[in-house]
Amino acid sequence: MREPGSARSAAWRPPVVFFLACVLTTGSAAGVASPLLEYLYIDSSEGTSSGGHAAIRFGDEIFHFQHFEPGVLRSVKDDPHYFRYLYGFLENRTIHASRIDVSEETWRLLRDYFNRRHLIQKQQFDMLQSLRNDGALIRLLLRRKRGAGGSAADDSIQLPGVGLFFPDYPAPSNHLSAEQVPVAPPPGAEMSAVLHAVRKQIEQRYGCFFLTMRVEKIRDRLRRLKPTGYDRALLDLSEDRFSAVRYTFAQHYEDLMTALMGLKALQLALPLRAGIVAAPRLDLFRLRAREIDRLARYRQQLQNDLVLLVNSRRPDWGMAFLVGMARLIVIDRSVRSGRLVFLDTFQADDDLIAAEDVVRFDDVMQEQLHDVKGEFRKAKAGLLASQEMTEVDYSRLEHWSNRYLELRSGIEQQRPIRIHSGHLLPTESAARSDLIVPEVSRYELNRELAESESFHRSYFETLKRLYRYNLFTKNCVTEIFRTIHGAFESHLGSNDAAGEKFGESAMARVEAESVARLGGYLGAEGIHFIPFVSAHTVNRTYDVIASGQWPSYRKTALTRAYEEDASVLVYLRESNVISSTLYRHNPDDSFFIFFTDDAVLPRPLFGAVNSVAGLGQSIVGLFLAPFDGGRALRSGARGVLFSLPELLFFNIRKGSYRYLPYAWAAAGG
Amino acid sequence: MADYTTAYVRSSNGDYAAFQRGLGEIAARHGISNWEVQPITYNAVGVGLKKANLSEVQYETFKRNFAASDYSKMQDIQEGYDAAR
Repeated sequence: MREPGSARSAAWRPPVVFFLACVLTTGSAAGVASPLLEYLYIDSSEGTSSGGHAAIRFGDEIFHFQHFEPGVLRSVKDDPHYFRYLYGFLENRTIHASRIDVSEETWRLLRDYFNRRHLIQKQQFDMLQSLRNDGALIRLLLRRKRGAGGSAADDSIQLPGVGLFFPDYPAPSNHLSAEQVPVAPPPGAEMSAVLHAVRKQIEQRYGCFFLTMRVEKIRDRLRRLKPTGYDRALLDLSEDRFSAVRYTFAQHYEDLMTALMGLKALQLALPLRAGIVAAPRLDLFRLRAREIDRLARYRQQLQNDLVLLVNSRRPDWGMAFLVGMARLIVIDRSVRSGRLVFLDTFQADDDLIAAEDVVRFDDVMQEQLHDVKGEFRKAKAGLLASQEMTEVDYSRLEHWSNRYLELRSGIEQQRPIRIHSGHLLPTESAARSDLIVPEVSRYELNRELAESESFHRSYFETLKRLYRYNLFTKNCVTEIFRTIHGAFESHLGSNDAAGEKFGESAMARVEAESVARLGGYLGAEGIHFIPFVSAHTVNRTYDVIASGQWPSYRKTALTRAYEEDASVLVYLRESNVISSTLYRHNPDDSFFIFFTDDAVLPRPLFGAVNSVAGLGQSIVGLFLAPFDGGRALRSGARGVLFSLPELLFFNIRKGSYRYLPYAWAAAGG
Repeated sequence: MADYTTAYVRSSNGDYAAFQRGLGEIAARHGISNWEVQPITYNAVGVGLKKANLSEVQYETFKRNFAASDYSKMQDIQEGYDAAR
């Protein structure tokens, strides 16, 4: 019953998100008009989801709870199309939806509370990462103070956006304490005329010493920067109370160093680094006169924005400044060349679709290319719109240009295709060791390191206790109901004094509220912590006005096949993995022969064949183990394990998919 | 951004720098680096302020500070505030 956890997600989600059609929204609930509330039950599948999964949908947002390492249950928010693509298509699981009749006020109350819990948890786990970063930075600074060297990775920090203009600068052993922000352009590099123009405009607006003074001020702030310690009140964590956000030592240091490097790039009018610019010769990237004109106007706007940004009060302006300068250079090249030139927005650590998969799934890749080309054309058509271009428009064009070129090149050259989750911003980072070391003593750093490590341990343990996963009492189902009750309790806490006056317990009042708003109450008793059972309980207890299904990918495709071909032929062909045209072997699946999700009566017979096949694969796997690391053995053993329930008419395994075009889910979701 | 703003103003003693940095991270996830010149930022902040149920004085103070007294930006915040339910 454990949901897909982080371990599986790491290997499995990236290919998924490659197909995502990203939209630029603020994620605000303000625009959500329909009070659509659905309880979702997702069929079981092999692996960590043998008991199924559950989620709750509020219009265009789905909240669910997943098990992550180290044994914690975390809130996840997904778009319904993505959710269906992930669970219904790639995992090939049917999703059962129960629509609950609620007022708009109840809908908003619940949605806002689920979202609030989600944001609180995210803030807490972000804080955990910030604490880790603080510790790493203090250790690095201590090594510098001691004159001791570490590995290149340990002795440098990643500065976002800096890689657009500067290369990595690993620690040279003879310059451990040096303050080495470059003072001259790289040998052979030509000055960027566009950045030179920006510099002139800044000097005209703020004076000719402005940049020098800004650099000196930042250097001074870096030298005086000290770890700030931690407020123990931050350890008082709660699931439904925001902690005060903290600007941590490492964040402050990173922001100042990035700003410093941004100013250096401007002062030296550095060119972009080789390899981060794409200038495709394809006809699709040719620009028409009106498009060039609009880009030229945006170029001017961007230049004006950069002049304001260099004097911004926001702490992380440096990264935005580097990205803006880099975009200005490529937009200028686009205007001058009449062809779209853009920054490569993929990151060094992005995942890849292997070259052999690019070839093997050529039909899927071609279909995806077709969809991405359509999105690219739409984004390019935006260049002809009447209103002025904004960064949102340009970013969309940059995003789809990158995706299209990457996919097309990968398919044509049969090379690995880079994939990235969500929207892409060209923030190529550089690992820099030429850092300014604050003038804080070794004694102070040692003391701060001890405090940082101690605080990190306490924070981590508190988080683990707060969100510890439990198969029976804290899982994907129980958290949904607990959050619903929490919403009512929170609402009553602020509005209902009458209940307390009459001596009602908080639980009784929450129960009454649940009955009044949802038609019933689902307490902690019973066995509805099992997703499958919970779906039935919800249907019986709440005001469910409609039930429906989002069929799995295979079921959807089978329905289509039955419409197009003779039923017997389709049944025989698609009943097994050998002749199926709707399934291609996925190494993530266990070993099996027959599909049993659509075969009820012959399920035990098919299950018996699958069990024997799994056993056979296990025996073969035993001999292959020295050569394949036990992969075939594991596949066979899992095959047996997930075939046994089929002997009792129960289906878990459905076969899953590595790659499918996202548009299919988007169209049907 | 709206929900993030609500969260920030409801939590006591939060760092304003950390709040701005958080806005930057959200904007970056949508491909935007310079959120300070995007009207959509101010709309979303307005929505968030409305949902936070601030008093009139608190709202006006936050609006003026966040927009750095820029009339156009304050208008954008107000639009988001008025549109939010």
